[in-house]
Amino acid sequence: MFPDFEYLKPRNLKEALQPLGELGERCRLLAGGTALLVDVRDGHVSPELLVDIGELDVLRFIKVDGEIMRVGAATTLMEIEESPLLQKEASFLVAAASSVGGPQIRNRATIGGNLLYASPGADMAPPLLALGATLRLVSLKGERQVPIEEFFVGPRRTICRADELLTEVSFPIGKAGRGAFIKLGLRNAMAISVGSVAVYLEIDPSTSIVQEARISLGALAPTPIRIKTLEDMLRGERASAPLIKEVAEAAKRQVHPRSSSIRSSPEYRKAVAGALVQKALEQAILSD
Amino acid sequence: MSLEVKPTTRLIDVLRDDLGLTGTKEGCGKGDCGACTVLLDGIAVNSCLVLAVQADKKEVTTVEGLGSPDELHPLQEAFLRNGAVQCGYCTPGVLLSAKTLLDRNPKPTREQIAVAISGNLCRCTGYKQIIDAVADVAQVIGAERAAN
Repeated sequence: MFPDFEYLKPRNLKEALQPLGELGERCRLLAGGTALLVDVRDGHVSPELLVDIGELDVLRFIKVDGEIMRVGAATTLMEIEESPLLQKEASFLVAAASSVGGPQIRNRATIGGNLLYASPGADMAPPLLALGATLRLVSLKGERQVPIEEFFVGPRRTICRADELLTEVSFPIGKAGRGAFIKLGLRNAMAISVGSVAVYLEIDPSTSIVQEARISLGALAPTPIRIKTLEDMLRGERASAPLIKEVAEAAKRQVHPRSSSIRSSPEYRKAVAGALVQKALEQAILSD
Repeated sequence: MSLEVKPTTRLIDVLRDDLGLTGTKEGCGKGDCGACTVLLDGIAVNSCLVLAVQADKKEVTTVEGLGSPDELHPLQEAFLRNGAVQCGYCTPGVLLSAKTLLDRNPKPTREQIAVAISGNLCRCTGYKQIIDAVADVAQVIGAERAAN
């Protein structure tokens, strides 16, 4: 049994937005519930009302729209894992989804919930940062499109206002980029990230010159982040083993993990960052 | 079946307390151990992290729906045959994770079986016997299909 709250299952987006506008933070969106219900149980949050958006069809889709992939915010991590479309267009996003929890968690947890919960180690964030994703935030007053880079502002904090609802995650596809996601947990199953890295590279096949590079880290800073200094080291250069090594060395100096050591110390996380960046770059460059 | 529930009641509470279906066990109560696994419209979920109201108009399968003492489900027989039950606390949840796997993929690899039960903690068996048991059933089902 949970502490007291009321429950609303809206039939459409407007019915979901109404209480958000009126109650603000006294109202919480419930999607998969794998994080929120634990927080409610433990008394970390005490909402008056839970608005269950988990079954709103308008928030559950995976579709290609021209050169853009669109994923509804209430799409479950299992739906992402099993999507042939995403396996083809963003296999490293799929890898990140399947690294979360166990099947029972992935059957409920959603991509939107993972981002909004905004754990520094949110596993969906690094690949979406590397993909250059855009988030669509909707409220009764209107909507805005936000680059995911601007979304996270601190541990468990985002720019999403209490009256706003994240409806969609989208990212460009079709550039023949290569991606990789590597996560270090304390074990394989049910493990929360000690550190994770996603890389996205576009490489000219005839010259091996890196044309575009995006590198992002999870659990290695107060928020998931892109490290542009590392990206600059790659862009315009020929992909090679020495270059990978150089970027991996630089990665150790570029991370600033939280001093409060949850799951591992900052020193360990810095060392891990270099190893993860190296492995991810190798995987992205060698994967064909 | 129709029941009126409070918004704050969890699915596991309705199953165990209101319906007396105590085969579903509560372990951690926060989605880490999988002891409370049930199938919701055929999909494995932790019933400690599902509100009872969220099961409205859905089919819930608990271990009681698998087999009876007189007529065991093939998975239950295989668990006995392979020594996959020790203290038994995780067993109902593991059985349901295995069932949903076999319903979707009748001939899983050992790796796929391991992934399917990765959300179910077992502190007795070391998992080997459980994987053996599920693989055992997968083979029986495969052989029956081949015979037909």
